[in-house]
Amino acid sequence: MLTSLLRIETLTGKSVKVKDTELRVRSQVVQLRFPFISGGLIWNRPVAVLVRTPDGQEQIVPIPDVTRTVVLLLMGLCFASTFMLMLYRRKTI
Amino acid sequence: MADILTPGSKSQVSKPPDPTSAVNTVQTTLDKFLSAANVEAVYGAPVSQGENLVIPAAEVLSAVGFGLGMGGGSQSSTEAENAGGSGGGGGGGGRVLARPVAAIIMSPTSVRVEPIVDVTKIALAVFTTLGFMTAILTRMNKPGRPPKLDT
Repeated sequence: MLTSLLRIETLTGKSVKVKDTELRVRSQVVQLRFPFISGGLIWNRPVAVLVRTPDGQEQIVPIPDVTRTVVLLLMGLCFASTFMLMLYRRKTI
Repeated sequence: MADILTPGSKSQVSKPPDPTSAVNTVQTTLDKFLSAANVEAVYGAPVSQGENLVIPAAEVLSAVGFGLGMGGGSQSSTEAENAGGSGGGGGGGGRVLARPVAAIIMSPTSVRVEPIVDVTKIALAVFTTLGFMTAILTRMNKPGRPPKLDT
């Protein structure tokens, strides 16, 4: 039941070659299907790049999402300050 | 002369529209929407720039929803002849949000990922946080309410 409602998977794309270096892109998909109405939500985001050098070495280069990291940090700051206010109020009353 | 329906006579109910086709349309659209969850949606076509190859990467968030409804009324003996009927309706909506995340730059010697920073979004988040923090600090500095005394 849960697997049909929520599905998280990592997909790998076709390889791209520049000279002898091969590159494969990876993305993560989060699929959510609403149970009682016909609808759904898909969140698709880039995750990493798989690089294969001519000497056969494989390297995974992660793709950082700077914007989301900063926004999440700021959101965390908001939650922390709210928590501190609650603690402060409890101590003073 | 109009037919007069007597109690106990069989009422004529018009046949409601077939809901199967509408449901099928919704299902097909939903399946098409869900099949869009692939790598091509995130990574753009490679662009060559001299010896380098640039692949843009974006975050894509898409949501869709449909609703259908139909019903019919039966003709009773006390109502007019054309009182019975049926109807149906449906609606749907969706939204797709996309935001560039990074650019993958592939040169003959190396591969590097250059993050794309959404300055507007960060600035908005900073201002919201600052406003929130100011409100919190103001509340913290405010003296608390004196306790109620029981009379």
